[in-house]
Amino acid sequence: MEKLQKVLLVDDDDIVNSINKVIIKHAKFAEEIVVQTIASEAIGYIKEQKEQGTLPELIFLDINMPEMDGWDFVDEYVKLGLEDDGPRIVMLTSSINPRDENRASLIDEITDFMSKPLSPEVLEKIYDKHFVS
Amino acid sequence: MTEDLKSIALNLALLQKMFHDSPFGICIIDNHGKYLDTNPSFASLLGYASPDELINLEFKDVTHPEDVERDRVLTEKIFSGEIEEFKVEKRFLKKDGEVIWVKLYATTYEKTYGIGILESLDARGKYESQMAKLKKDLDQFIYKTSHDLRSPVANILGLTKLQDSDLDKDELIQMVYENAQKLDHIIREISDYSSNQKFPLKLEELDLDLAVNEAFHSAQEETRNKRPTELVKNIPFENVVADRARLLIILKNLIINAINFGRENAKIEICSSIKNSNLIIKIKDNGIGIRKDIQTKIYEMFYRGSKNSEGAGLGLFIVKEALQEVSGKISFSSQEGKGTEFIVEIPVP
Repeated sequence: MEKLQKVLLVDDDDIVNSINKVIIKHAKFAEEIVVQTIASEAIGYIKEQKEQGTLPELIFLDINMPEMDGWDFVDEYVKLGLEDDGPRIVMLTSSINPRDENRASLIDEITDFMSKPLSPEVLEKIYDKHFVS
Repeated sequence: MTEDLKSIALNLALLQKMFHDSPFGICIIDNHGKYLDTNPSFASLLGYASPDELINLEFKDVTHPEDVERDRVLTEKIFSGEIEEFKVEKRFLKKDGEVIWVKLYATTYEKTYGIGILESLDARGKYESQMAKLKKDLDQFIYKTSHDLRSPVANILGLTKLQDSDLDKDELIQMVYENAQKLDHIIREISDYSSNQKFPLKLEELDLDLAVNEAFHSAQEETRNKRPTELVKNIPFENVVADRARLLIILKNLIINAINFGRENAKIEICSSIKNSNLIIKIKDNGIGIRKDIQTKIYEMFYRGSKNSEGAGLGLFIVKEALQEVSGKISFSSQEGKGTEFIVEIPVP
């Protein structure tokens, strides 16, 4: 039995997405893994899922993407006005810069900030920290 | 002193002229640091229209906050007689907020009036603001490149953990390979950028046709021959005089973009001509085109147009920088879904 129903990956790098999909699947972390490589389309997807009541429980969000980046995504996401029990957003980025981590910590909607690569240990940490009440 | 100068009136007139016309800024302050009088040079150094504007201001009002305390202590010392004079290099804040560096010599008359004479260190101020800009650019550059370098590394780290997964070994190695290539590509971009900054201009006679071939070949190598691309050339003359290294950087990066943003049956047409002592090179592709709303941004440092862009977003930025070095120009026309044509103009001797 997988831990979560649905996880959304927002990242423009196809390789990152395929690695993360394998890791998530392997760790039996989520039933369904949805990939969006363009942030603005990911916003559209979330809107759609909200109406159908099938929102993901967790979003892994990259920062550095062309056009709409991770920060812009969060701005747009906030405008959707989802309830408190909406998806958790974990920033998953190549950045190891404290400036980015700080900035993320100041935004309520961002639940956590992790450095790539994703690993089974990181998944476990996220689950224990944010999904076990 | 001659007899004439002993005349008080004449003496006063001379002193006044010296005060008024001196290229050095001169000010007189009371023991609270308030300006009692300044000459026009002093006022204009600080960006004020006339000395009247400074009356009633205190020196701390127009001094850079980081210099105020030091200057206050020194001023106190000359008024108390502990020291006779001091010389410092200090910063003033001009009326518009700009910082200027000056060399200040200060003393008092009978410990009642402070006299300051100052000389602009404008060159230093310019140097410092240039340094500040360079530091900011460097900071941004390191931030972005370290991020961009780290992302393929993080991928490779992630991939090594997938050994036991059901992923095919060959597929795994292919992904490691692609990431290593990406890393290589970014490092090459940085190296192009740095060689453009570093090497002096060097004009030489070269065969343009061969240069285009060479650039096309490196572009294919850097894009791992991922998209078969037809090259059509129309170069009706052989030799031109140009900066070889920069010409290659310009051509290569434009061709890389044509490949990365290409589609099926990709074709690049390169033609050249000489017009009004300008070498004109047109590079036309039949790729996806550049969307209107991003057309103004494409030359920016680290700007990536879409996920097709493979490097750190430096390609067109480097092209533009290299063209600046050779006093050249670039323009383009593009139609979404049809293709893009870049036109490079370089003056030839």
